[in-house]
Amino acid sequence: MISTSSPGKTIRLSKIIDPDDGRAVVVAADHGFMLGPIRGVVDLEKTLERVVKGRPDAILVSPGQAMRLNHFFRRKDSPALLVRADWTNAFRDKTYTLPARRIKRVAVANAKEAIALGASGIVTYFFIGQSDEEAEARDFELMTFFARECRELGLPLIVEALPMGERVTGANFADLDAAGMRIAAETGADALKVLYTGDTDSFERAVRAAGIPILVLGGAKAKTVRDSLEIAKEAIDAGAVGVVYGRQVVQAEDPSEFVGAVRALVHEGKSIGEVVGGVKGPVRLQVIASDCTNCRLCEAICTFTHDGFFSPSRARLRVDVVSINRFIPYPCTLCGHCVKSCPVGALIFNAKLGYVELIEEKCNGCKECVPACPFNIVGFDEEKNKPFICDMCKGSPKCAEWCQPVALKAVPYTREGT
Amino acid sequence: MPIEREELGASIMPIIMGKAIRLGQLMNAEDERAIIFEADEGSMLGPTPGLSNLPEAVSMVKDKVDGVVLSSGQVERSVEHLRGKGAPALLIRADWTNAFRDETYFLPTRKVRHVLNLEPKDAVALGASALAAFLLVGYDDDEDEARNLETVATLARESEKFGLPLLVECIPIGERITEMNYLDCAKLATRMAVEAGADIIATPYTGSAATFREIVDASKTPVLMLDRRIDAGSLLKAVEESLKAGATGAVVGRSVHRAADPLTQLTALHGLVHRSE
Repeated sequence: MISTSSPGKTIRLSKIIDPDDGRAVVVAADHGFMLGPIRGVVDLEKTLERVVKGRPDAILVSPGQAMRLNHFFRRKDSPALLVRADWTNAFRDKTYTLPARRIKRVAVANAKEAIALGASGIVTYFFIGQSDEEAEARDFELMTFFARECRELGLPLIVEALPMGERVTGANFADLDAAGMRIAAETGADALKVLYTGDTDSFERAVRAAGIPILVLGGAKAKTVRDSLEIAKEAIDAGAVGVVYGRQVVQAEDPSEFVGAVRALVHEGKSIGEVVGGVKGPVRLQVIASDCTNCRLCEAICTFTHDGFFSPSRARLRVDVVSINRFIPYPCTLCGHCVKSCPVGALIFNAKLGYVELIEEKCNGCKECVPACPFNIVGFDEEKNKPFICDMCKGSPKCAEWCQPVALKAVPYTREGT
Repeated sequence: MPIEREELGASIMPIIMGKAIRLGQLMNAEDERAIIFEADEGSMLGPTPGLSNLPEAVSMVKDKVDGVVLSSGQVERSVEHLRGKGAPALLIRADWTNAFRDETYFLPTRKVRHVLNLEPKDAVALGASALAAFLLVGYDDDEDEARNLETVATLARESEKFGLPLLVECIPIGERITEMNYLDCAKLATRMAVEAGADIIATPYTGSAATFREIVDASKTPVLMLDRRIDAGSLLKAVEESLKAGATGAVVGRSVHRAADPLTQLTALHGLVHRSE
């Protein structure tokens, strides 16, 4: 539970950062205000309908959209409303139709107005690194104005502290990032929305020095979904409480699925492999036996992934040598015999991600599942007193990923396919 | 597009009810479209032909338009034409700019300026159904664009408190605007206005129904076609295309009062927008 000196702030912040695990998934959807109707936000209502289904903790919109799209924020389980309280031209780069020649920033709503709109917090920028020091000072001044007002009203102030402007270089980026974070914290920000510094060490230092909850912008510098999730994961491991995703969510093919995946990563502590698998949907393993060369890399990578070392005897699949040049890999087919054989219900079929899941706490080590497997691929770990069960690497099977001749292929899971 | 009761939160009900009622006054009840007549040019350009006798001009158009934009100082002189349920709704110009003093004007603009000239509560006191303001993009100095946006946002926040709708006329103007970037700049300006809190948008015709539709689709608030860059002869065609693209109506000024026969022009426009004949 994050608590502040103000009960109003504490209560409102708890709608943004889940007090159960201290984590948050925030979606930024204020792009139209700064850049016009870019892809993904042309029909913001339609996009948000899908975003909301992924259950983000909070959504950031401009005051005009907060008024218009108020209905998304009305229920107890709705995302919290964050109102963008300022506007800037800073993101109109050289490639933009009307590039910014000078970074400008103005207030567009005050804390009182945001409260009237039903906001759980406001978000404002703080830029550090502009060539004009006067501009940075004015930015700072505006931030103090918001901070004082928010303090008075018990409204959380989330400052988006960004290295921005001509004086930002690759060399000073991490330092500027950390400085912006600390300056905002000292001014009265209750949480920060920041860019990743680039490495765990410097980010960890910056987070510690700021001393307030940090939300990291996952997608800002990433080229792929995986990259952005890596950044988010690293930042969280380094102490961030959560993530803010903007374009990558609103421009995703399925925004709700994307938000759901980020939730799994942030709130459920899932690995990126699991989450990216989740993005793709459930899979099954297809065998093309004629292509198998008996290299056994599948067995090796399987045990390495699950146990951290190479030990083919522990592999969750096996390769049969039929003749000198004919081999058959036997991976899990999701037939369900093991699930049925389990007397204590420790094996369940995860229909969403399409794999058999072993609930270790329930397993009593009876070994019923071992002979139940028609392919003889359920082994038993005598040390741990638990069976080896293929979990499809939680949606992204490594055996298929590493199989060079492509005798094993991860294909979308369908009922007919099993 | 009337604002549905159930679409809006109980907490903002009082504000919105006012906006809903006043927005209703701006639109034709039958088809929810609007023709707004801009008669405030004098505050920016002096006594221009067609509007030099303002009360007369208002009197002439009053049966054919759904709303009239006036500067605050002119309301009193035209008030007799604005009374009654059937009279056009009053929109009051909340700002002033020299942006329209082009090269042909006797005192051309050297630097585009934009200032606020009243507060929403002044407009309420004058009996306004809505406020009208400009959002210009293409300023030479980014500072000016930021200030203009700030002004619009301030008006939006203030007028929310009074339940007063805000019409924002979004206009790409100035040396940085070219034929190449005109559409994108119009899209930027209109969306900025929507996100700042405008209730109705007006923007110049972009040359085709397809491009105008891009603006309508990205706004999701009523969009009116503005007759800037359009002469009397091409007005009807542009309005027709805009309506096809989903426009809610038109904001007209010069293309009507400078037409050879303003009343005939208005009648034709009325027929087109409201399909009355």
